[in-house]
Amino acid sequence: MRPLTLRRTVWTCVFLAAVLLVVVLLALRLGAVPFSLGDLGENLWWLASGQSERISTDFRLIMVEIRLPRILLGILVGAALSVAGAGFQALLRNPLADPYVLGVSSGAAVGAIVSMLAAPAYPWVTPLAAFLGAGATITGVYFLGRREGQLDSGTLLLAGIISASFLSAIIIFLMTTLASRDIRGIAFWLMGDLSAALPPGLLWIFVVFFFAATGAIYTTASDLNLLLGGEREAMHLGVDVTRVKLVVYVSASVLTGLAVSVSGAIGYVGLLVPHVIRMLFGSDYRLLIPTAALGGAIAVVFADTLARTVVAPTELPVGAMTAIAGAPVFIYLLRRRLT
Amino acid sequence: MSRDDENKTGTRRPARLLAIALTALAGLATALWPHWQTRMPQPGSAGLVRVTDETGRAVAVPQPVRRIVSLAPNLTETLFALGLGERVVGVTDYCDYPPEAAAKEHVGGPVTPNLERIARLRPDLVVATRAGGNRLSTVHSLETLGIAVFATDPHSVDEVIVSTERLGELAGANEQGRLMAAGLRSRLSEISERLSGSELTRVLLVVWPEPLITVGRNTFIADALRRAGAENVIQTAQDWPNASLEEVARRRPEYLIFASDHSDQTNRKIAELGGLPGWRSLDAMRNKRVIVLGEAIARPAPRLVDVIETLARTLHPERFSLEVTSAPMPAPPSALPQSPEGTR
Repeated sequence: MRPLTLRRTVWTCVFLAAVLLVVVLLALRLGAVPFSLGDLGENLWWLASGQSERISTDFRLIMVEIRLPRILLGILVGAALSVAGAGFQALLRNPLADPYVLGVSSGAAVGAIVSMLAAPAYPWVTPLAAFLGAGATITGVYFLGRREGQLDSGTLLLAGIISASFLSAIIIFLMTTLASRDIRGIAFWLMGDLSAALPPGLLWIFVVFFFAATGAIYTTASDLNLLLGGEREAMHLGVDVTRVKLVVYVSASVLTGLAVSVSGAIGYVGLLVPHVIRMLFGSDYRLLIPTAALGGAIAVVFADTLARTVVAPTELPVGAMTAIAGAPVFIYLLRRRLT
Repeated sequence: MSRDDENKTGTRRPARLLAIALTALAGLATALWPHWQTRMPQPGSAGLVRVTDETGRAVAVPQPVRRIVSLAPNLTETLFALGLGERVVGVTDYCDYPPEAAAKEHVGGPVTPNLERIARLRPDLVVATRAGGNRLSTVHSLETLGIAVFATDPHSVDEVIVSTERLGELAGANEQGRLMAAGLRSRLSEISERLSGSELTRVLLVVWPEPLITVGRNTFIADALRRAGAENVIQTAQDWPNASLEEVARRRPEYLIFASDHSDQTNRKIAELGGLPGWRSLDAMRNKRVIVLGEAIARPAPRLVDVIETLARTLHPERFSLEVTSAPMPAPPSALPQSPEGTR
């Protein structure tokens, strides 16, 4: 692979951003309620230039209130999941690691289920409870995964997997005993679903946290490159391994918690996108993190567009779409690289 | 180490550039933010009626209600029964009764309705139900969009009637709702009069055979069974318990009652179950005491009372053959698409 230059970083990101833009336009155009391209352009221009009084009511309702926020949420969730996945893959030095491997999604699901049972009347309670559930799991796994005072990849992985299966068992228990009629909601939640319209404030909080956590991981990018060669070697090269691991662990967990709390556990994105990006652009984390963010956004927005339109007006959970579309792409790239 | 230094400097510059790009993006987002906040203009309405729905949510419903979207088959049935069919502008893919309901615009399934379609219909009121598979997140999403959602949550036959009455009130069919409720109540008291003193027949209501799902005691279905002079042999606090066949065998139900939308499939399934160990040794299966009820038993709507009548007549025919002097015989349950089979 050619050495990474600033020029290549920027151009790769610009290229992916352009792809994302195309996918977003496609996503805006397609949906259960069709809009012509002319309408779309005209109204979007009015929206961007502040002439909101000229926007048609249909457009305001369907585009501005439903479709656009959903696409933005898809971008954020996809970006968060793939950055988190890339982070966990480096932290655990395991190519099979994904954002959910340490049980964050299961913890969030437990939080969400409890909130659905306890306070069904308030829409913002579920994401909040899910995030708290994720936070509790992260903290628990952190203390279980330490060895001699610092995070140890092997111990962390085992502690996370055990916590994940323990929490999944609790979910099944809760679903079969307590939750009765809201059970379908929870099943969708576990599969990953972007259809819920979020209170706008939550989206905004997500944006802030996303940039903070992604920025934090990005500052450790060159250290992560060295860490991939082995922990001891990295330490000899002057990397503060303990700090780097802590930063990556907390940031990746926060990103996962955010994504899961608003959209449930959307599968495969966090596992596949970083690998696909590596196959396409190399495994230097300085390039991998921004490109994985863009790639994740592209993947989720694309998958969600399919989920919205394939059997419209009924919607599929986006998690089913990411799995169906993701696996073949991954296998293709894997085989191509081998031959 | 030179490689390390190279990496370090390599990180800084793109990092700064990235930071600038992100700030610009955040700025753009902030600039656009006020436009996203624009709420739906309130329709020019005579006013809002503030009610608390059956799940405890406060709802402000614009009056008069001219456009209604129904998110469950039972609610569609109820609205049509109340004579509000004209005002229903959207229904789910599963709203098949009355047949003209299916001609309305579809907004998707009850679990995954399409928000865009619903919003475009500009409903004054969306009706949802916890008993019919609607998700809480759908209700919250519609609420976020400024659309009034009234959710029902009936746990008994009485509550089904109360829901019917309340929907009538909300949507401007007060008189219709009151009359319908009174009619349903008098039919129910007639049934209970005829059944008074008779023992409850022990039945197993099968929602799903494998795994065996039945109904808990707090559901409207269990209550409907009681009103028809039957009692589910499985009594749980859970609404849709996964029952063990051993427990069922021990409790010896006299009848097996299947709830189903497709009687052919169900009859085939029953024949199949009749050959399976466990099922085949149940007395009810051996004596062919199997009843298949149509989908109406699972829908908390006025038609539920028709099902109760039919079931009561099937389980306690002796009570209905006697002519009660003053009260006329209840109307034959011709409205039922499927009459019960079995009791041969």
